[in-house]
Amino acid sequence: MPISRLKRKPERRRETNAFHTRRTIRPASRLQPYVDLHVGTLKSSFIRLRRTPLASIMTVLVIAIALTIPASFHVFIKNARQASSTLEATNQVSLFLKPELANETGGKVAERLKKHPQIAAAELITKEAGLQELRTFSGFGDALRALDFNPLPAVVSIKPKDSLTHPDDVEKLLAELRALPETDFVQLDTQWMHKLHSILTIAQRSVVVFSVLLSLGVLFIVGNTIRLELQNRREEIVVAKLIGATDRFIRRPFLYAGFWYGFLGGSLAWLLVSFFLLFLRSPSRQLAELYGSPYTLSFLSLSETELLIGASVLLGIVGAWIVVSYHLRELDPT
Amino acid sequence: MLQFINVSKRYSDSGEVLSDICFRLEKGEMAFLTGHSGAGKSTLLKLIPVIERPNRGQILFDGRPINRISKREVPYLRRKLGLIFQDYRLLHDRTVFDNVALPLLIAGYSEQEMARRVRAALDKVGLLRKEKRYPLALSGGEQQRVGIARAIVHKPPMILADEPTGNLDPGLSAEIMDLFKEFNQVGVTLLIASHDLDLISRLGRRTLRLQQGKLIEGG
Repeated sequence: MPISRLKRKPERRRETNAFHTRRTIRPASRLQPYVDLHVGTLKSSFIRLRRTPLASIMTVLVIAIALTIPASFHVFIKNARQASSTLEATNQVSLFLKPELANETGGKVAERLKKHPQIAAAELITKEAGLQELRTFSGFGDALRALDFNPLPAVVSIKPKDSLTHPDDVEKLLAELRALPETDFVQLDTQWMHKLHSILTIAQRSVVVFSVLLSLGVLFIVGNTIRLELQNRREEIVVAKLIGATDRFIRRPFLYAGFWYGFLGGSLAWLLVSFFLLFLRSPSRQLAELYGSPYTLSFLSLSETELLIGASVLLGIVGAWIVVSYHLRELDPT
Repeated sequence: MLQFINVSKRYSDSGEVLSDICFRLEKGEMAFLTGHSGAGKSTLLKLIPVIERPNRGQILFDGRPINRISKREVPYLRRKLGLIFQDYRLLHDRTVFDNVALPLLIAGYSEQEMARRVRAALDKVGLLRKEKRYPLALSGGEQQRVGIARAIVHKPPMILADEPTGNLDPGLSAEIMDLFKEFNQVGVTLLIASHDLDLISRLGRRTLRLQQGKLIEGG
């Protein structure tokens, strides 16, 4: 029923005389002009944006850059955090054997340590494998080739059981490993992790500060663009007011313009962040391989994308709202 | 329809522009407002759509005191009026059709209804064929007719015109007045400010004469 009613001529009028009529709108069709109005404004405000392409592109670009900075910084920290946590999960201990000991001795040490109650895995990295790895990833390939002997010791890479978390217990295990006759020295890779974590926490806080400041920037950019637009359309606004336009009616196209600036700026920021990450992908993959980590660079998640574009749209609309509300009073007809 | 009761308006820089104005305009009446420039014609007209508010006195429109209505109500009051200006006040970046459609757009009409009414209004002023033109491509007389179409498209009960023929030659002015008479015949109330005394006398309608802010005739 409602559909047939919507399709019908939207209103039926009762004419009292040729120039004075009362409109009686049926409830079911009351929504249609309203929807028409909003869709129409959405379209016309976009067309308006395209009418001044250079100015619009510049505004969108500035918004995009302002949002790309905190967004990419955030992704960078997120990745650093995830990367460090996968490394931390391994809680790697490297046991460097005395240089004079052969690979076979290392193998026996590894076998013995596997049976240790607090060790989950122990794996021998032979002198040759170590050298190979160093050649591939360190960039010293040529220098290393010039050596006529392998200076590297055999290493047993140990992964303690996950239950081993308390620093005292870890320390006890380390002491035990250090006491082995084959051991040259033992290195635990978690200390610098803690430092890294504190650094990342500080960095994350500064992202929040950056985001707030740059969001304010976006607010001002949109506000200023809308202010110029208001000035250009001064005459139109005055006439509309004379004819009986409500403030809401006058504000609407500007809010939609703010929406478009925000939406386009946010979307462009998303693209820029993604390009930035693509640019970092292959070096980060190498870095991950260097650590033997299966880690791959993560992009903006769906919810982060929604947040980025959503926040941008909101800033666009709010910026427009503030400026239009502020200037609307000045545009009263006289 | 419209009643002024002891209405005064003063500006801080130019003193009292209207003093103690009293008159009553009946529904369906067509009246002229005349006087020298500076006599207060424009100010009086501005009080009705609440572009200005009086300092003293009361203005009743359709029985409601409009000198006291809130800012929020002003747009809805203006929708009951058709305003016509000496300088037409058309939007030059919109077509004739879009200019005339503006009051309907503001009032939230559906697209079909809007098109129907705009064409009816343009037909009335004889500009149906020029709906796709831009105002600046039209002559002065045609531009004013677009302004008139815009003022009547939403079928207001009252039309206010401020020197509608001020920029037009006598022939065109007569045409415009003929249009006004037509509107009046179908029941629209009109108040037309003009200092074209020849034109006014030929029409033989009620004339309100202002002199230095006082209503000296027709009140």
